[in-house]
Amino acid sequence: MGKTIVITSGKGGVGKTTTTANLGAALAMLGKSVVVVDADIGLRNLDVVMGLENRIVYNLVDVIEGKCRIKQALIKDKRYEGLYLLAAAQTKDKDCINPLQMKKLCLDLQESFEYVLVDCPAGIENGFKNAVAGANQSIIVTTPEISAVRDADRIIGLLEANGLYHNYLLINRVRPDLIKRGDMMDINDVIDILSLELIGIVPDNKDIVVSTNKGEPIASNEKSMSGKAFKNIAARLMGQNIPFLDLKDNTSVIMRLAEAISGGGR
Amino acid sequence: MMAAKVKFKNEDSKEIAKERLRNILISDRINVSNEVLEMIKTDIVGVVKDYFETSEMTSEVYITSSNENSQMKTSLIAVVPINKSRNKNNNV
Repeated sequence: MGKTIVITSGKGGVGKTTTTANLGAALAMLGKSVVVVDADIGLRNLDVVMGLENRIVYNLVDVIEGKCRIKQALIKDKRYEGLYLLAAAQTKDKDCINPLQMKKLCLDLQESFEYVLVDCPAGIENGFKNAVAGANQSIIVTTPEISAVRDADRIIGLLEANGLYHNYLLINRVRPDLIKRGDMMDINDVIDILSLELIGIVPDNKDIVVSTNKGEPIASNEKSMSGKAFKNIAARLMGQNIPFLDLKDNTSVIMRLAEAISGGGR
Repeated sequence: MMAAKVKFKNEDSKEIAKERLRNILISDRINVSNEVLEMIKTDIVGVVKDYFETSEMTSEVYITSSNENSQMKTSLIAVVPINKSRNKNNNV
């Protein structure tokens, strides 16, 4: 019997889908059987980030409505042994399923997989309630920005109200150069404010944009710091004690000079 | 802009972010609206007015938190400037 982990954030655009895809790939690389579930019905994206968009036949709503068996809707990721995707429906909306149905689906998936990772939609409405319904744990993704941390705080309250107390914090899009300048809250600031157990820090990196363009999870890129960060998080989820990455400001003087000449701020 | 920026610690934008975030979360967490704070202010100023000359215009009521031994402590702070005591009853 596996477990269900929901990846959530409240705010949109902080990296839930990228996190789900990469943790799925990283766990599979570590030998686990994993299914990643896109709970963002009507706005599906996990398939695209994973590069599996051309292989969808049936989706989550088809399974819940009994139009197909779970096995028929699972898309096998041929690049990673043991990794499967259950795509969201694109033509339906979030109200066509309910939390009870979602809970049953997660339980069914837990029978065949060690990890069920649910990619939660942004917001706190029905889509959120469905996504968290079957979860045993959560990973709350935030960035070191006021709006994302505020929404994360709200989400923690809602998860606890739903009886979910096993929540981890993932801080995404960390910019060591900005932290060094005093222009970005650092890791400890965010942890202090949210008082949640940290599961990982992911640096902001152009590699992620490139890998999303190609539909290849960054976790399999040995050279990428972000890929490494996701692999470490997967290992920590499995109970391994891995030290957090030391994100130093590697920006060279020449790069900083170039940035200053080209207009400085962004 | 090439000119080197001279920055002091307390001018870091992250400190501003932390301070703003702290205040936002306090009101999110205790779920008290600005309207309620205004009502509290009216009440407090009303009581103080019986003894001192003061005005709501110059008064402030807000909720703040401080980190004491890694425990978040939340307090209601009322700042009510007073001009002079009302001596009509000579009991102040």
